[in-house]
Amino acid sequence: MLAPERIWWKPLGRMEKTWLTVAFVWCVLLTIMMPLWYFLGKQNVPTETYRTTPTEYSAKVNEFVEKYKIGEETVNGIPLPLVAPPPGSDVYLRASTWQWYPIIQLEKGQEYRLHISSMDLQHGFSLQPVNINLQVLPGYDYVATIIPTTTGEFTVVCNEFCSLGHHTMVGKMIVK
Amino acid sequence: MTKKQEQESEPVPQGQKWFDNIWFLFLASLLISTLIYNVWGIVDLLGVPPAP
Repeated sequence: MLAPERIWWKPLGRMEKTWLTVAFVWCVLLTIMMPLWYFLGKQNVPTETYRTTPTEYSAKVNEFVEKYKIGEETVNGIPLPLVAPPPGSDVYLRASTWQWYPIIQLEKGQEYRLHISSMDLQHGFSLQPVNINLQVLPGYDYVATIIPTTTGEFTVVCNEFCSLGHHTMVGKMIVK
Repeated sequence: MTKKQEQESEPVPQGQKWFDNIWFLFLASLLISTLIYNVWGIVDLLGVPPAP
């Protein structure tokens, strides 16, 4: 290995200048796309977040289930309430080890405010097969405004490893 | 004075002095990452309003 010259600080070469310009223009473009895509893109992460506690959030979920429950559905052999909230309302989904609660039934083409929070540790909301993914943390209520565009049954899986029963953490969303 | 002697007496440019100083680089990396990851993150978290 050879030591560098005593003075290596020299004006930039032509290739170096070109590559730095290309990289800089690309950075500027990506930075502009971030806010632009928020307005142009059809799927965006929720920007509405509130501080909450598991107790507070759980009370809201229970109230929501009591108000709009229309039946029961079984997931992984466990009966869960099937809840059909009216269009435009606030919908509450609770993540806990290892369950998504309750089963939500929505109407196609209607807007809902979907709240998601965790009761214990970090989970990952992943709606399949449409592949919408959101991070779920305890202590924070994330609100995503959604308009279901396809009817059918969708699976909610946890895509953030949440210890032993992670692979069994499966829920369901129905769009009619 | 030979050419070699001339080169050796040439002053080191300020830019090279900064980039050759590993302590400056180390402290700058700590400062930048603390500001961008930790401080910005904490400021962001403190700005989250309580649920209505």
